[in-house]
Amino acid sequence: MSKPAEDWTELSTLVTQLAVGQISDPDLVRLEAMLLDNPRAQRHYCELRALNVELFWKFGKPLATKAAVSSNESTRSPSRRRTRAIVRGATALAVGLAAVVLVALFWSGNNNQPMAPMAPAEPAAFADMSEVVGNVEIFAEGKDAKSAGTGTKLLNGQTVRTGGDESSTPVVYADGTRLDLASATIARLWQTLPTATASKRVFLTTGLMRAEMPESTDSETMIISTPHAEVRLHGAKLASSVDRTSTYVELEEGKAELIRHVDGQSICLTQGSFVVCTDGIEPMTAEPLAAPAEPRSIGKIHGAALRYFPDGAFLAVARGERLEICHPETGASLSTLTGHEKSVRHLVIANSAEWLVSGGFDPYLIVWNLTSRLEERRLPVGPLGTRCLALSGDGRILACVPSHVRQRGAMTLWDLKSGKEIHRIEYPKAEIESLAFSPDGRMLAAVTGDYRIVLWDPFTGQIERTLDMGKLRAQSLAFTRDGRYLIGTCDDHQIRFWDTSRWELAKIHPCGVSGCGSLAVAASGNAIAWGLHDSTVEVWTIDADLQMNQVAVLRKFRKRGPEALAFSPDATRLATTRDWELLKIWDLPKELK
Amino acid sequence: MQRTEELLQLITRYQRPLLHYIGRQVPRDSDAEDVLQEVNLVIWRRAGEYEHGTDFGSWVFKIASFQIMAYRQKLVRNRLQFSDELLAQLAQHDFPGVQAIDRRREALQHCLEKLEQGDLELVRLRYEAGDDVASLAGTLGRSTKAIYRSLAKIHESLMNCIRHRLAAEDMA
Repeated sequence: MSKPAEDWTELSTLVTQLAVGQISDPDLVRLEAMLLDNPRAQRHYCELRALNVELFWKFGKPLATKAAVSSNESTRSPSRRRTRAIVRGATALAVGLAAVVLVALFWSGNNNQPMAPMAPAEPAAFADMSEVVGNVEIFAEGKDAKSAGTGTKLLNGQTVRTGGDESSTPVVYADGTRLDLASATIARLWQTLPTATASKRVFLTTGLMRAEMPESTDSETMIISTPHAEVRLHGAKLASSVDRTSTYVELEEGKAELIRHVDGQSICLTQGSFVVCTDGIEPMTAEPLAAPAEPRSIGKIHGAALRYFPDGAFLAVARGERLEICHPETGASLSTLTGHEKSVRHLVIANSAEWLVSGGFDPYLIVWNLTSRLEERRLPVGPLGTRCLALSGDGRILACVPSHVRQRGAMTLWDLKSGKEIHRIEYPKAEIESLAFSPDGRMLAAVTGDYRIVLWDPFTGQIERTLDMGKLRAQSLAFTRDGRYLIGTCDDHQIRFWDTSRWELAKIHPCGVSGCGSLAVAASGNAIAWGLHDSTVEVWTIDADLQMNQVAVLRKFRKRGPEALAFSPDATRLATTRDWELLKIWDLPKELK
Repeated sequence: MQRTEELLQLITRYQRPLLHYIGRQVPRDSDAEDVLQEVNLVIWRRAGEYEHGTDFGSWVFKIASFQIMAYRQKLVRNRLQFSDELLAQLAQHDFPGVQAIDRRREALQHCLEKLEQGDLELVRLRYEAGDDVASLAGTLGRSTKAIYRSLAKIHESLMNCIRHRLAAEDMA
């Protein structure tokens, strides 16, 4: 080994940072520069990764083995695994301290009411787990986790941990109080003597839990403690989700009070409202809840992308290497377009309903004639296929970003009708990640990897303007139908609206505790929808002055919100899908018509 | 039933090699594990396509390749990642077979026993804590930078030990 050891130490440090997802973009670029065209460094990297896998296997006990062997459907989310790992590490470190910490937590939460006596020393079952689904485990501090099944009885102070995907369990107390723990949730449950003012206490560390207290117990209080707040319930039906940065609480019925840990600010929730609490000290406000909706129909397919035909007569869904033309209300497949050899990930339809363009992992786009349903032509995009695709409102200009080879952007613009290339645009600073045409087709907006939104004139291929995002990265872009605003979902869990006349930020809107990714704007211009990372889609009305009201919350998604959203042209329906998430069609409230 | 058991055994046997294969191209541990789980699901769903007696390894690594490709495509919008050019170069380095992986594992076990207790504890905590190195640093009262640096030195030490051990075995 001729290289000095410290060189490898630096490489090794960066690889470790990369392995835990804590590497900055400049460091990642530096690591790539160290490795590229350097076989010795690459060999070292491969050995480091192999070592990492072995250590991970030995000490981290990857869950995949168990998942593979025990269930073909059981997968677990990273957050759940992370939390499990933290709990395991903490358990190993602090077996002796855990009880003390727990008692301290318990009493500190009760500091403004008479101290409730603790449970009897002898452990006694106080609740049952009924209808356990998937992987659910229970454990007490310092003890190994045990699998739980339907009928498992919970002892005081035990923690319930649900697995990923569709794992869940209800916990039913003797008085009928019911907790429903969704997947990837960790909750420790305590019950003090029934004479206490608040005899039930739940430490919700992460995940999603719904609590339902029977009416007869409305004089009693249940306390839910999260890393960010304490929630006191009185005869309530409530759902709460917790992640690292925030606690979300929505109250369906009854009364609840939330007290923020950081500054003690409290807020009373009324029936049908929600609040988000973080570690910040900004004022908390309770917002009204939209009624949750049920899908009108659930199709039998899933896909990566979907679009309604402009006349609303059909719905096109990219399903693997095929395009399914589906019934717009039922989602039933009516016909199939074949021609791609690899998965289709993107599709766009011209407003004239004349053309549909599809692209994905194939090195070409296919332009389909929607009248004949036949392939019209193929447009080459590069060996790695298509990264993103957009079509101008009049259907004249097609823009395509190929999957990149290195961190630099490139984009090709075609005249769709003739199939002739108009411009080939290079953006050497960073990759291009998402595209949106303005409704008049005079502006093409793109998210770029250098934390900017860049606006091109598609007719000249020249950059017209750049919006510097600081350290923020936008994910999806869309214009409002009147073209007055450019909308971007951003990785700080907020949606931004830029006024296109002055290119100033006009509005910032929060999009849930988990953040949002996909975005759709109705052709009617009065509705907007976004997919949250917590298995939810929100639908909002929006007017010309950016006044917004939430009108629907769509759940019923397995793991995360769908990647693909599309409004029907009359905004009466929304179609949703993603890989492994069945096509669903939702009726929307009438005010969106 | 017999076929199911056989498939389960094969899947179980290939978990570690698959994670090695995925881990080289998917550098973040939690992502690599997610991809492995996706691969397991695909293997299970497409079990009917596997012909008994044919090369199971070749089949599952092919599935893994597609899943890695799909994963990278999904990641494209959200995160900076290694360029395809670098990944292509990395792919040219020989991938160790199942037996080589087992040999390295045995050597690692031996080398871990030689680590100082404090270093061994740090390694154990790091891999138990997953990607939460910040919490680990807080627990140990050290900066995250110091933790990364220490881990890097331990990794280098372990790799040197493994190389020497394997070389000595080859000489014997």
